[in-house]
Amino acid sequence: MTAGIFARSAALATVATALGGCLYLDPINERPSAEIRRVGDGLIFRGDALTFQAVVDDPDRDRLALDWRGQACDRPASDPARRCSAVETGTDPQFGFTVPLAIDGAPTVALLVTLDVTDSHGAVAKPRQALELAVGNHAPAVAIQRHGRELMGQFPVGVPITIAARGDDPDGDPVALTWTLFPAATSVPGDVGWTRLPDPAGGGQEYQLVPDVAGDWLVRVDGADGLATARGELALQVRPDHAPCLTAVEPSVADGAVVIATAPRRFAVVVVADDLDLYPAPPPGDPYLGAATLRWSQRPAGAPGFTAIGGGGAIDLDPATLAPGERVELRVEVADRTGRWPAQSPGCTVDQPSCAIEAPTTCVQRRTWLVEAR
Amino acid sequence: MIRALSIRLGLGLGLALAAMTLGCGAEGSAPRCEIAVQFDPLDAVAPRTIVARSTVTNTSGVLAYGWSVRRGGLEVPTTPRTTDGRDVEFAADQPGVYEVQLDVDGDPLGCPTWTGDKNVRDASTTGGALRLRFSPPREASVPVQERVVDVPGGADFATGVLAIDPGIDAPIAVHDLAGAAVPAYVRLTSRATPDATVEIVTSAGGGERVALASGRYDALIIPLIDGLAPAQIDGWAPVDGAFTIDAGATVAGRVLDAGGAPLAGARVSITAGDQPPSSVAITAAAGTFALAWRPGAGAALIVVPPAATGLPRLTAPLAGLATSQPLTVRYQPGHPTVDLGDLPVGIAGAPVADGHVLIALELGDVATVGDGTTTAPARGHHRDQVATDGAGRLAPYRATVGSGRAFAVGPTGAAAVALIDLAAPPAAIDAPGPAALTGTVTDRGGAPLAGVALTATVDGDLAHLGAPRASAISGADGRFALAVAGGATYQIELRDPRAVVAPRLITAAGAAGDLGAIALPPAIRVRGTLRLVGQSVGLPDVGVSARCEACAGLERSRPLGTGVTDVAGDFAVVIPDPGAPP
Repeated sequence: MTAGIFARSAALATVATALGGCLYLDPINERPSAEIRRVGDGLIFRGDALTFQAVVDDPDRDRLALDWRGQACDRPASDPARRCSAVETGTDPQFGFTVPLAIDGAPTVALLVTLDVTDSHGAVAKPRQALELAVGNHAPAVAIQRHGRELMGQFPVGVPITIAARGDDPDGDPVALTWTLFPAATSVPGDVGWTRLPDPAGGGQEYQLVPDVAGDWLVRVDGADGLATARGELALQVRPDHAPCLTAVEPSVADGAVVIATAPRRFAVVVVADDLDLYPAPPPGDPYLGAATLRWSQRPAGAPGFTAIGGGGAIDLDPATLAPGERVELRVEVADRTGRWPAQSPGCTVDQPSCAIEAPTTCVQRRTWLVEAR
Repeated sequence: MIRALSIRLGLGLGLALAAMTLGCGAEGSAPRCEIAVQFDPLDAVAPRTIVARSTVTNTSGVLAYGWSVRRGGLEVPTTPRTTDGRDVEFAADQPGVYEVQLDVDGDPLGCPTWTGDKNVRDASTTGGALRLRFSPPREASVPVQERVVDVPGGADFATGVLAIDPGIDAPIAVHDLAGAAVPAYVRLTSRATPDATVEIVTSAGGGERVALASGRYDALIIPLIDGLAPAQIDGWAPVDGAFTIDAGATVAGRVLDAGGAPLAGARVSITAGDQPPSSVAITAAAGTFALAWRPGAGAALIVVPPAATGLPRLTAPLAGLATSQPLTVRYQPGHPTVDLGDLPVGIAGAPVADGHVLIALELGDVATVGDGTTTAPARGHHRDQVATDGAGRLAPYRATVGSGRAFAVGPTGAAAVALIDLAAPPAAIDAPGPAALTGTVTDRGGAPLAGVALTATVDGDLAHLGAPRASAISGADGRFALAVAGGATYQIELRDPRAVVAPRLITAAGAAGDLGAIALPPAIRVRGTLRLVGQSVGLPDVGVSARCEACAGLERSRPLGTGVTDVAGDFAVVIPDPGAPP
């Protein structure tokens, strides 16, 4: 209708000019133009704060009114079933719009921003400016961890390992976790403990694995946020019970070196490190942990064999029970629940002051002091 | 700060400073948010309101403060003292360790969580000093060290972070006066913590090294070759270099039997308490000996004759004797020996097959030591371990006539004590059967304690490496029964594996019968974190033992409580509450 008024005024002016008289007419109002420009570039993700700039022009320099409308949608425009969020509006040259995370629970996949510009005479910019933008999706991430009686990166057979996994999504999407256990090759399915535990308070899920055999196990957790997937894998080395290590003893001297006793003194095991059997003994109550067993023995220097002198964590030696200069070898050995004593190991001869029944050789199960009375 | 300066200065200089900033930036990143918390009062006694004040540096923006205070696992409410919650206060109604945590939100890069412990004392207790001994794994090459901490008592106590010295790799060498390397045993005793000793054996080839904590040491050096005297060198430090030792003074003499004949093959030495001993000599065919020694007070001559002679071991104080003169050790007549070989040994009539007997006889003055002018008496005693054969008969053995005790030990650990008097040679040693040592374990309130582990170790003159231990666990009614050798003295350690109460060590002399109620003292938990100096991470697998600071002798080396540092370096040991009445 506005265009029709402009046409009629032009016709009257033409007629008035032709009649040779003067006729004043308002200038002809022209339609404004408009364009939407996004401030910034790059992929758009949910939660992003976007800014759009209206680039407008009016040949008549009329005052312009802007009408922004923004919506987020769960499907592309081509999909007639798509749902869009409530309309956000604006009237400033810049329009800020934060991409909603979801529409009715479905993730946002598209944005629709429109701009209508009207001048003070009511002329509207045409065509209407509309910008359809695709919204990307951040893939989820799966974090997977293990907790258990781990020693040197390995776990003993038959002892629970707690495996925790959590799916994190930068877009805030819930991440559904799918667990898959790949037992060691010789495992018997019926003998494996694989139990879901109550979900931890911090999020995620937990399973308890009780491996039935030694070998290489794998736990796989797939996470999906509805649009993308991620995978986490955790390799578990399950090994036979480690031999315990005499980690710290007192006095701490080189194996086989002379230790002089000028007064009663104590020879003690201070720490035994092991995957299951410890010293000092753990508090009771843990169904899997136990105490390492210690055996002490002695032999006069030069004697063929050692004589057992009991157990416990320490032995007191009074040099007054020996003659001055007399030497005695004082030996302590450790074993765990498997009962593998150094004396039964082919690699440990009676004359070795220290020895290991298995690798690593730094983890010894025997220590010997050569004590000289003074 | 450099950035601010560059803004104030002119462009040219500003550019120069900007370049400096970049250079500095290569050395270290921008400072990160740091949190410090101070408590008021510093020394808090329950009940008391504790004020916690936080200071956050290297941050910007409006911060939010989230406090958490816990004691014994229970949340303790906090009350803000500032509108932003930067400072809070909480009521410490009970003594103990209050675990405080502060989370600060709002820093652009995030602030680390601050955690710390606040000890609150019990006003009714005095506490006491405690030695914490740290025994690192040998592979760590970190020396054993100790820290003395004052534990208030009455409640758990947190030591906070304790840093121990990683040690320096110090060469240890012992030389004689000619500069030759000497094989020797070297014991280095820290002057700062005298119980933390380092021991090493040097060789003739030299080159030995050991990890030592910083500080000075008192060194005991015992040469392992003849002709050099053991020495004590005080206040040594690695910078002082090799130890030099000489022959010291010579103490010469001879040993004669009761008939005045030379006694060959006897071991002779001088002990002197805390002072270095002498060298060890074995008497020659003429009974002669020569010892290298550094004369000191409190010395005694020790003579151990060959076992076959049946003569007793002698201890003769040297006070009043001129050790520069030749000494004559002479067994006195009137002390015959008796052959006990093949003597049957039994416990309650059953032969002690393949076992052993410890024969302990105190003989009084059976010899003299003289310097040519003065003569002093020498006491004799036997403390001989003699094996039994498969039939339970003694191996060949002679002893000087006297009275004492025989501690018979079977191969399975059964043990019993028999009184013996060799004045009338016995036909057999038959000890009565093991006795029952009973009692009831309770807490200080008299409630019986179940599950307490008891270990009885022979003490006194019958203690020896082959003495069996007896063990038992208290029942539901707190009762226990230990199978012990009647007549022996035992040290009994009572330890609650749950650590609800503290361990206790008691002595039961002439063990047999009922000890009645044995109350275990209340326990407190001493915890902390162990690190190496210069490290911000914990030191794992370190043995931690709490020991008595006021004790002496072996008691000083017996742990009151033990623990091990975890992967974070955290430890906890349970000890008797030093604030509890004895």
